[in-house]
Amino acid sequence: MKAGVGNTSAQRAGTIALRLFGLLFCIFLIGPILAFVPMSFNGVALLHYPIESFSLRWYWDLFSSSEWRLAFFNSVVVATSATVLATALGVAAAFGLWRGRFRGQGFIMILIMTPMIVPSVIGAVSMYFSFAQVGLHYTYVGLILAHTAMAAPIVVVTVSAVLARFDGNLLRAAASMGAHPLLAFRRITLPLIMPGVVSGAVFAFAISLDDVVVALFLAGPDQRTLPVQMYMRSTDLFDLATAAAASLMFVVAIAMMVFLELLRRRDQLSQKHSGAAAGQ
Amino acid sequence: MAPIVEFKNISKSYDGQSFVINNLNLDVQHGEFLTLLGPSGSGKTTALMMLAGFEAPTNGEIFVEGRPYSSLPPHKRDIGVVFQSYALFPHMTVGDNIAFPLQVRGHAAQDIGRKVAAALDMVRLPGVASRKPSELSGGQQQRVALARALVYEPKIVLMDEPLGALDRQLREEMQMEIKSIHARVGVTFVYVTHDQGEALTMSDRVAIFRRGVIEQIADPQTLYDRPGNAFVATFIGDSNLLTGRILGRDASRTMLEIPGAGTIAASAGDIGDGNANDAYVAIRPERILVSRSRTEDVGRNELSGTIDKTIFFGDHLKLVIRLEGGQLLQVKTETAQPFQQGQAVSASWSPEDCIAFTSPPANTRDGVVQSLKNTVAA
Ligand SMILES: Nc1ncnc2c1ncn2[C@@H]1O[C@H](COP(=O)(O)OP(=O)(O)OP(=O)(O)O)[C@@H](O)[C@H]1O
Ligand SMILES: [Mg+2]
Repeated sequence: MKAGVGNTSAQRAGTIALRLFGLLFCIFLIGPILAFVPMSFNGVALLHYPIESFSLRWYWDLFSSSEWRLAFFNSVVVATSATVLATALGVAAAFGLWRGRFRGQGFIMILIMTPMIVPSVIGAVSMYFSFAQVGLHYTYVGLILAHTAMAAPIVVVTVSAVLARFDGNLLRAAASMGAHPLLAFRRITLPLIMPGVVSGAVFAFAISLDDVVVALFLAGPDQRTLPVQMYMRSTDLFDLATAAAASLMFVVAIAMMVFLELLRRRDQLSQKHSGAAAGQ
Repeated sequence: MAPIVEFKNISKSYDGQSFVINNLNLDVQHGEFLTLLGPSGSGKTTALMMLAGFEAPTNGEIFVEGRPYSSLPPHKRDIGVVFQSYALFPHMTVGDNIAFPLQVRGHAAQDIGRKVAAALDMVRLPGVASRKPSELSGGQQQRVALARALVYEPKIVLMDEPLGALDRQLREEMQMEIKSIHARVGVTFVYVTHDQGEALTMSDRVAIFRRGVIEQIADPQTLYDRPGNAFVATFIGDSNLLTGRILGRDASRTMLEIPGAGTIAASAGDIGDGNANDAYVAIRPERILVSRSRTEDVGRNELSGTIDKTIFFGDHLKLVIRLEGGQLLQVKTETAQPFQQGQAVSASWSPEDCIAFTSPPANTRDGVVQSLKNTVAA
């Protein structure tokens, strides 16, 4: 870093201030979570420091309690199903919007985005009432559909972003060679937009896993997801099993972030590669 | 033999108001190399895209081998397309790219391997099958695109400015390459370019497009020697365009007065027996002889002027002569000709080498007559 040589002391002070600010900001953001995680290892059911004794009893509670096990199961089932549906719908919508040449495209885009923009409690209440009309409240299907609607927009966003770089002539070329549009989509479009599809799916999964508001309204006792269970437990008899569950979710969230980052780097690498070739 | 492609009264409008292609009638013969040549925006790409099936004609019908094609989707047309941007599939190897059309058609695996290798040999790129397109140079990628468009032996191959992204030397090399491949495979080629040199060297026939209509369609020699109108005369190669007044005409000759310079005889271009008086006379710069004094050869047109500029081009010299009366005349001569600026000279040419037209060369709707080749950018 040659740039650092010859810096005035004012500049250096500025750099230090900036770093300090960044550090404080990070502490502000993740400090509470990091403080919460160690408590899940506390042997005593107390929500404060210092930790009296190290123990895994809350994790053990988590896995032995049928209530928590159901919540895990529900979260996995609902998030996975919603992710699959939202990804399929989101990819189709993004591709249609990219390909089509028609009036009202902007309007449709806004329409698709509404679930992301409208405050979730409004969405939750309205979905609760309309789903109740057709008997979909307190069912897996209802909850999965609701999460699908909430998660599809992010897939549209991530897939549209990669489609913006997709060369439409590739599909024309494929068609001229005799490939049916569906075949061309599967062999050409899909592999090339895969980074956007995968990151959209990860975000969709996170949105479903993260949701507590809509699930509170739409899930009956049998459909309680992990966040709902955590919410319920922390409002009545509090024990540190909630902290253990939170720690596990934190780990999953970090794993997803790392995955997305790796994906981004790989994508950037391949982009750089083709960019260099085009410049030859 | 019946033409392989017929455009019948084809019109195309993108916005529902203005026509980009206007009542186009065009036949493409079996096995020929036809080039669509014209200025930017003249509708060449649109014509090609309609033939490939990516755009639908607004009016008219396209026939391929006698069958109406307008409602046939592109993937059922059996027409290969080579794009300017190559359009190679970046996630597949070169071999997989070329194999793609064969796989789509359900060829057997061992056939595919053999045909891919043969196609790569044809474009002189053996041994790159396992590479990704991004690992090849622009010229190599274009060869792969060509191999991919030819490997499944389509009826027709369309190319939209395939060499536009290459530098001049590579472009000339590829022109020869494409031409020789065409001669070998005998497939019908329809080629789009706005490089007239490319069109003349490669094509069996060239269709000159302007504003959605074909101005002339002919073989390169005819286009150059017998342009059908002043637009074609100035668009193909360099041409002087003198303005003059018609004095009289007979079956083959037109007598014209070049104001202030004298009278000349020209062969009749698009001059019918109309009663227009103003005319444009096209003369190729290399057909004009320049001498210090008048030759007084009665069989030739001869006008006097002074040397306005001499421009050195390496292999030839361009003289710009200001004729009496003020019009400029460009002449291409050998570099050894010792002419000085301001020198009085005489320019002469045979009446066969100049053609008189009545319709103006370019856009007169705005009142601008662009006798562009008649003035040299200083
Ligand atoms: N998809 C489209 N939508 C609307 N207008 C279009 C479209 N494609 C072409 N045009 C218009 O049609 C006209 C003819 O375009 P076209 O691309 O056929 O010209 P071209 O002869 O291929 O020109 P160039 O040499 O620049 O490629 C242009 O005025 C262009 O703006
Ligand atoms: Mg074009």
